[in-house]
Amino acid sequence: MTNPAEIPSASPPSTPPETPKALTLDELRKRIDAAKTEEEHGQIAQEVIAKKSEANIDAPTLKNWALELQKLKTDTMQTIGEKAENAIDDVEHDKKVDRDLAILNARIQFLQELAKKAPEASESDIPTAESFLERNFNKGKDMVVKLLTSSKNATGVMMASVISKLPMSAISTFVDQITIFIAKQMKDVPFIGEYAKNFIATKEKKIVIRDISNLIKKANKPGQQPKIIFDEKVSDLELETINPEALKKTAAQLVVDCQKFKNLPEITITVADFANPSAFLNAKRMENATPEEKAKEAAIVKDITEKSSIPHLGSVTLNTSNEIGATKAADKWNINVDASQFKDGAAISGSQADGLKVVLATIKKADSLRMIDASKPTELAWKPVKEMRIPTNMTADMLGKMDELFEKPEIHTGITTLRIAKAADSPGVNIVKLETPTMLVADSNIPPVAFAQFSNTDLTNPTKKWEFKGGNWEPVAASIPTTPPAAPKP
Amino acid sequence: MPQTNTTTNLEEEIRASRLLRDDEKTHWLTTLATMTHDQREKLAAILASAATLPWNSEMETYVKTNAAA
Repeated sequence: MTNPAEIPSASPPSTPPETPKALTLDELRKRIDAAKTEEEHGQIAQEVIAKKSEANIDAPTLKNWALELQKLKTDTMQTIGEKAENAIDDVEHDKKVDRDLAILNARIQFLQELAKKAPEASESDIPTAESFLERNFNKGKDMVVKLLTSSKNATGVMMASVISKLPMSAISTFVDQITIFIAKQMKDVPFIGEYAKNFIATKEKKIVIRDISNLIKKANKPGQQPKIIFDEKVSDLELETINPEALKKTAAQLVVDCQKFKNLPEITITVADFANPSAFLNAKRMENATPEEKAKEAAIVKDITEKSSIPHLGSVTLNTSNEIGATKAADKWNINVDASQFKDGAAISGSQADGLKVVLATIKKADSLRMIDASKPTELAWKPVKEMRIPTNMTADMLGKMDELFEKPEIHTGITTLRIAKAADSPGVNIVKLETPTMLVADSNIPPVAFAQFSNTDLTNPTKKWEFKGGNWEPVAASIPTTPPAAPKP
Repeated sequence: MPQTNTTTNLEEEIRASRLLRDDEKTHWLTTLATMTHDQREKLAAILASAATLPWNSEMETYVKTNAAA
């Protein structure tokens, strides 16, 4: 390559480029070498800076220019290099100012929210930053994270930690539910150490656990059980995993001690992995189980693992006591709400149902729902499921509520299987003792009246399988194909 | 000069603003000289918005204790 110093100037050095375009290093060298005076060199330097702006040269490229210029080792070149460096600083400075302005702008938006709510605000009604977050999530997660991180507030930092881990897809899903404390609220909700980052407290009444998987990992360590004591003001508990994959691989137990909840019973949440029977059995919940119970549990797990071709996500058991809950689950996800453990052994109260509803509603992966307390079908069976398990001791009133439930097509259209479980003799609802469900197979067009029809059907044969065809339930010989079916109904 | 007057006004607005903590006021006053015209206008608009807010103690507390630096 020809030495740039030997190349004469092709044009007057003062002639500016006609159109903005990328300036090559060779071109730059030629121009500099051709320049005769310090003034001309200075003018070139100015052009370089101007070119940077016109052609939108990024900082790394500009820095390369500067480095190349400095290699030429003349005072003028050094000056040009420094100017180029300064230009880089300018770029960085501009970015920083823009960023600071964006943050300041976010602050003014939040303050505007505060101002709107200010007239009615009281000690117990402190505005949250929900709407603020909603808006700013649209503008950029990073900005929100930065804002919260730099808030010098424990809650803000906690929120930043949570948000920063969420993929945007998750945020878009959860944003309507994410409410946070920016200021005072957190002071009244003591969290325990490292678990704090997994929680979002809202309005002094609700605890939202977003990432259960981290807690599960902690709980998986022997002797370490996450036990979180919440402030007594908390009355709602909401659980939601954002990482079902973690649940799939991890067997453990998460216990949330809700003893101080005024309106919620103590809730034990057990997460087990059917794909890992040994881990399942090692879960805390089995510590007090008898050998027979463990053997039975293992058989169930083994059976499920071997027979099902569907990947098992695990089992979630919500148990209102510390005892082992209903574990007769035979599907990839089962949610058992055992109402029998409530102190009066009767139907769960409205507040309890609400609390459980909140818990259940947030578990997105549920494909089946076992309705323990049929007196609250509309409160518990609020979401589409593929399978519904219903005890048979439904009264006419209960059936009426089932009708209400099925008035919402969005709830029942996905149901393909109904399991009507034979009720135990004990008073109240006790699903734990229900071992011989009768399977009802129906398509998604099952009408509400089907329930009433079936309640009058003979259930003495616990192994009977029924199909809903042409508006009627027809018994099907489930296990012995050669057995002739019952006489068809018109 | 108009530019000087604008800058002076902005400096006064920064000093008077309830949106900024003292350390932030110092920061913006220092930065002002190197800000672009657009940036100065944006800052002025933000401060103007802040001036129209019905400030209360809660908002003041937010700025003093919780707002981003």
